[in-house]
Amino acid sequence: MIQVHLLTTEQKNLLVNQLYTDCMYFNPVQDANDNWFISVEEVNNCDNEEFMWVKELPLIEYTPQIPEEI
Amino acid sequence: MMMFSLGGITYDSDAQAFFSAAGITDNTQKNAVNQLVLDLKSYSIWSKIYALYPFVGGSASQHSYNLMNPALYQITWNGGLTHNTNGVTGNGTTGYGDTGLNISSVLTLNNTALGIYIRNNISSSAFDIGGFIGTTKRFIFNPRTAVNLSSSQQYNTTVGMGTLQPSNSDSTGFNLANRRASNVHRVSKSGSLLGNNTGSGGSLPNTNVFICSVSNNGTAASFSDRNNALSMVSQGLTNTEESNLYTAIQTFQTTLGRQV
Repeated sequence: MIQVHLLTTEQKNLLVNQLYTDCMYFNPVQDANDNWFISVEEVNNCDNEEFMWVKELPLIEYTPQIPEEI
Repeated sequence: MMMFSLGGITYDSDAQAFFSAAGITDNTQKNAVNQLVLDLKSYSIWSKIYALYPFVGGSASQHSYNLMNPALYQITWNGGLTHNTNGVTGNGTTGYGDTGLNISSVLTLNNTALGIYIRNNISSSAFDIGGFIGTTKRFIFNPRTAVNLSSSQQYNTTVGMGTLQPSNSDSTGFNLANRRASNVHRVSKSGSLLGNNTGSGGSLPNTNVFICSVSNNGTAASFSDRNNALSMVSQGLTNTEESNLYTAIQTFQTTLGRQV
């Protein structure tokens, strides 16, 4: 089971276009329930002092949106 | 071809430019990249490549640079990705790289190729490189789909026309999707042809090439979790060039000790 970190919409807005570590930007994504989330990799590797609060975000099960047939 | 000599080591000028931009200091990595450059030039493939990311150095910054021209198409990394000496690995949920290479602006219809060196065998619906808009503007590649096909979409979704998808049950190796003419569309892996067709259709999308994902009209979609040790966007290639390209890339990966 893949887990991801749940965001509120307000939290998502704070992370857009922001670096979580050298040369890597946060990428909030919506799941099948329209929840915003970021990955465990972004949280675990975050060393940007301004965003260390992401390490307190709750974990949820990853539920991908039904993918558009590519 | 200018050569730079420092302490007895002579490097091609393009290789040296890459080392300087990316901060590559390890001699094994430098020798591998230098030989790759020399081989691509000797095979007359170098001038056909728009962007080649050798993913050496191990960091996100070092992996962002384009060997062809470090000042062009530098990758912006987003989401969760793992960068190490084996290249870059997606997380399947949020991670991708935007090359900044606009497909319709830079490429020419019926003269395109995508190459990816994948180090793990994963069956997935995720595409590892490219971009698309709708069903008729497609430039994307998945080396092993959930139903064991190597899917190249250049440039629509109609199988036998703009889509070629031969059977493939192993995503590891250098996967190449080559559209060199309106009636020549080929997919190969590790130098061996998997399939080809003569149909065509569709056009180039006005969106960027993404890596570890694809651009759906600017939004990342289809996040891959494969380990990518080299990615390339080029003009179409002859059969001989396909073979030589694989030889050069496999030599490169073997020098680095990460060949598959």
